[in-house]
Amino acid sequence: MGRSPVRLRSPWYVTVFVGCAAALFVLPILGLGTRVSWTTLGSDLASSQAGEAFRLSMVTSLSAAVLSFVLGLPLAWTLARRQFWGKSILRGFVLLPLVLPPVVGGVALLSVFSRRGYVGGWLYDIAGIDLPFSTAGAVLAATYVSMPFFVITVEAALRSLDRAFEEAAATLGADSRETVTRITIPLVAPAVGAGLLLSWARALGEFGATITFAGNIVGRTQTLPLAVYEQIEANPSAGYATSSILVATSLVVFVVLHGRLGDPSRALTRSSEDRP
Amino acid sequence: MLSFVLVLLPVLLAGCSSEGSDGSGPDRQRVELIVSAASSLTDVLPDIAEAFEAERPEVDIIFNFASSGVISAQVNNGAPADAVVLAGWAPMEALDENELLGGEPVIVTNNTLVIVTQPDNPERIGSLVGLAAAAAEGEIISLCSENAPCGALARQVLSQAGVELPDGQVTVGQDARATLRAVTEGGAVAGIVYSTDGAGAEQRVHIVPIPGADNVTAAYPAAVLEGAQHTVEAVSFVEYLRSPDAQAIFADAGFLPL
Repeated sequence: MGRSPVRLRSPWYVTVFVGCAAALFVLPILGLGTRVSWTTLGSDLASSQAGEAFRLSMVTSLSAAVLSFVLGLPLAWTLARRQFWGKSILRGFVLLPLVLPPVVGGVALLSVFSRRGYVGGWLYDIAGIDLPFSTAGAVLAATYVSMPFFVITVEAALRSLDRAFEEAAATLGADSRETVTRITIPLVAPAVGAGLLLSWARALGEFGATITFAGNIVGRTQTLPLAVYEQIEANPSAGYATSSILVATSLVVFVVLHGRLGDPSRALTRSSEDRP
Repeated sequence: MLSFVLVLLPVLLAGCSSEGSDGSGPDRQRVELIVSAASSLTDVLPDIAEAFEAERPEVDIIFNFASSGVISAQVNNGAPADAVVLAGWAPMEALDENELLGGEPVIVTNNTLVIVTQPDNPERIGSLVGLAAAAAEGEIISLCSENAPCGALARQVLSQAGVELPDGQVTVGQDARATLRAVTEGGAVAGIVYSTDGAGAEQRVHIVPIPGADNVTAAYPAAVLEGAQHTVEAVSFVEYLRSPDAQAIFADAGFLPL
């Protein structure tokens, strides 16, 4: 991977297809740029609820990414390495949030976590926690739709990992903790990074489950996508200005982080260099 | 075990994260009233709430704006709100049937429908019949979903006028705002929306009124919910919506008097 000394030249038609694909992704964003009133951007943002929505979007998307990591890593590991009855059914359920229509995901969460749901009622009675219409609810909705991206990415990496490295480490006397920390984790680290990035991005753009489960409440659950939705008809310049924040933030993060995710072979070399 | 952890952890962690971030929490002395309202009221209700809060400083009104269908799904599934203001009777009746209302619903304002076209009205649409003519020429018309109040009313208006739009020429928006967006953003040549939404977008659309005989009145009923945390304040707010002060604000935004 990445070590081939031969530089392959792309045939001309590949270049054409790449050009079309790139245009498909770049042009709409440039088009969006023409809708933003750049001269009044500052005042549009000040007059809108963009600041508060930005803060909430950061809180919910980062919390969702952290939860995806904390809960999704053991889940991805289990799906990749353990054999148990119902594993493929469990994986099916994990992927379902990817296809649920927006409002349906929210209603599904309400049916469980609202005060009248079987988990929510219990939470409310013993702890006074009411998730719908709260920031915590927005985090839960974002986690529900974004964790699948983390789990599939990491599970795929774990499954395609060459077990020979781990077996060799074990043969050389490494215990299982050492094998995991010195071999497995460095090898899947790039996939974990990519999974985090994907799940964060999905959480940042999350709309449907959030508006249904967490509501559209300024300062509490109105994240950037919800603020854009509310503003785009009545006050389009504020709506497009708010969208531009979402686009700019994500683009910076993607450009800066994706280049640093690296590839597994480099990760392993680096970790062996780190050895004391 | 795994499923237990899966269910519990997000709840606990999410609870922590929101507490950590929410430094400016509301004062505990105040009453926080959550009002779920139809998205066509997004621009008018906050002004009315401000006037109400000036009279009742202890009350903080928090709005949750969504389509009437989403609000109905939220309330039916136990989301916490004190009162609802919906567009049309159908979603309110559904809540009533499920015994989720804490009082009789009352109409707080009315709206009518208009035709909106692209600013230069390229198809020269001047009536409901003109909409059908444009559709017959292959243009796309934007209507609210049949299940949204504005969609049920638009279809009623069309059938009263004996106008039929072929399904293949209609793009369906989930609420009045999505329907308007299909016209302002250029996908549809014209649409039928609330007159208030048309007025709010008058720089970006051309408005064709629908004559009174063909038009319908869209009522906005409000009600206190059975699960309200602050029933007394919710009742006063719903009553306030019918007061002359509130009606003046509704009228400024293009709504019809009671």
